Amino acid sequence: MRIAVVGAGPAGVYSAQELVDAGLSVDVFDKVPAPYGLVRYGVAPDHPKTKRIALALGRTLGNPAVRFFGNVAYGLDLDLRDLLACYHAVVFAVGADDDRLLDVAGEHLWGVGSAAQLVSWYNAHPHADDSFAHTVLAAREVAVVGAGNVALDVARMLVGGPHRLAASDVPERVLDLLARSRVTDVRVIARRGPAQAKFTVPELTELGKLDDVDVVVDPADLAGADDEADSRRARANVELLRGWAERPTGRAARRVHLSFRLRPVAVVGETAVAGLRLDRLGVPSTVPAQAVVRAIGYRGAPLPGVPFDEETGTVRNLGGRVVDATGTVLPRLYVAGWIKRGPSGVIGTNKADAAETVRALLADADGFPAPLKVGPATVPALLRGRGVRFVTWPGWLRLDAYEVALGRSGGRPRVSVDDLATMLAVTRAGDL
Amino acid sequence: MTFVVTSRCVGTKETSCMSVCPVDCIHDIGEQVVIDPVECVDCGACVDVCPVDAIVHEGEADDPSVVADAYRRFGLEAP
Repeated sequence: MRIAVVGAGPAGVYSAQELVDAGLSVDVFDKVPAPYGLVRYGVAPDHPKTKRIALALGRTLGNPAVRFFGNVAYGLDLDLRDLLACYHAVVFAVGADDDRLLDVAGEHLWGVGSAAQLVSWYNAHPHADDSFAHTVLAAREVAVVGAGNVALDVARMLVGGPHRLAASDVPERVLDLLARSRVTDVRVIARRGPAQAKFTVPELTELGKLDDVDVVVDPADLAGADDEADSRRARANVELLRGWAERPTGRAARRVHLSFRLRPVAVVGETAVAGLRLDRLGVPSTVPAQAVVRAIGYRGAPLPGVPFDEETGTVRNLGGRVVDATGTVLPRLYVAGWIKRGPSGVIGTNKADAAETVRALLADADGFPAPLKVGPATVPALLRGRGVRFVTWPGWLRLDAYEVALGRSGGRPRVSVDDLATMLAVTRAGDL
Repeated sequence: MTFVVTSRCVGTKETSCMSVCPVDCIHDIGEQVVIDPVECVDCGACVDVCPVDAIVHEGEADDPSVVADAYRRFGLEAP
């Protein structure tokens, strides 16, 4: 039995491992030439140890029962009909590619963008657009709306200085642009209180360890926070914030301001951003900003041919089985990861999530009809016939070795390649 | 650097840390679980889910012998 998994990030790879453990063959597709999803393209480059999760995921993708097809886009290169004709079942593990909007006046102004645009830029995503990064790094004051680790990642990257990335995998042009950063003040703006912030303790701690950066917290923001902190994490976060609130500031060259209980009301400016208007329980204020970054959460994007819940930004499902709006199960279609449960949890959360989906799939497997087109050569032939330059696992290993060699010449563990043409040339995409 | 499991795990050994570990580096050795310091990627997911606060970062352990033991168990010396 052969299963298609769409998405080679953690949820897709954990699903593939569960399927292989059950004795099935698996083809894993990804729209970019490189595997690992957000481990490669989301985890911040100054967290190289966390990026080593890729080594564990690579053991699954290198398993002889698994094939990798990179640079294959679902909906463009292959559609639902193709997958259902060639496989017994399909698991979508495509993540959450869209971001949530602030939904305020002025959001269309030049200088407003998403954290995702910055994250994919500094992580060398081949589809990234650098223009927003240029705008943000030319600003002196940046407002980042959000209260999670992504907001902290962005703040750290903007003011932390490029020397912190000297041993990372980011491309030279990212380092060059960061070295020319004009940002002096990042204001992280949280809608809820400090006890409700979703920062994890190690990420928040790290913010206080940046060279020549003050973390600025208004003591008034912490009033009542101790009583509201109902988890160990919340208590630890409030304690860290209190430490900063009590510390004298003013000497550092750059600042990260953490402020709470502020609701963005409007982005102000003529054509470009000049500030962000806020509201705190009816009291208006405006902070100066030449760029506004949304970091209020990712959101799943609809998949052609698959029922989508606009409310939650996920594919409608029951325990991983895709269902339509009436709750009727659509046979042979499954989901795992963020497109199934929404953008929550840590990387490892996807293990149990994928296991649940695969249990459902295996329970249904007796009822799967044989696919119309069988045989391992069908899909490669189909893709080649359509001129799709897909990347195989040996192809990825060539790119992997190339990136390590690039790094070695600059004294770094690796340097990510973000140019699609180079990626395809190095992998010799289309060869088998 | 790695996270280490202290003896607070003993008697509870709830194991949700094992299910969230992205690299499967937490092992059940009987009375408690232990973290393989070589495989650990420092993500801290285990710390957040431990119901008895048994897991600490090696730099924040109260008792250095806990860290030394955690390494020794895997045939290593604490850095």
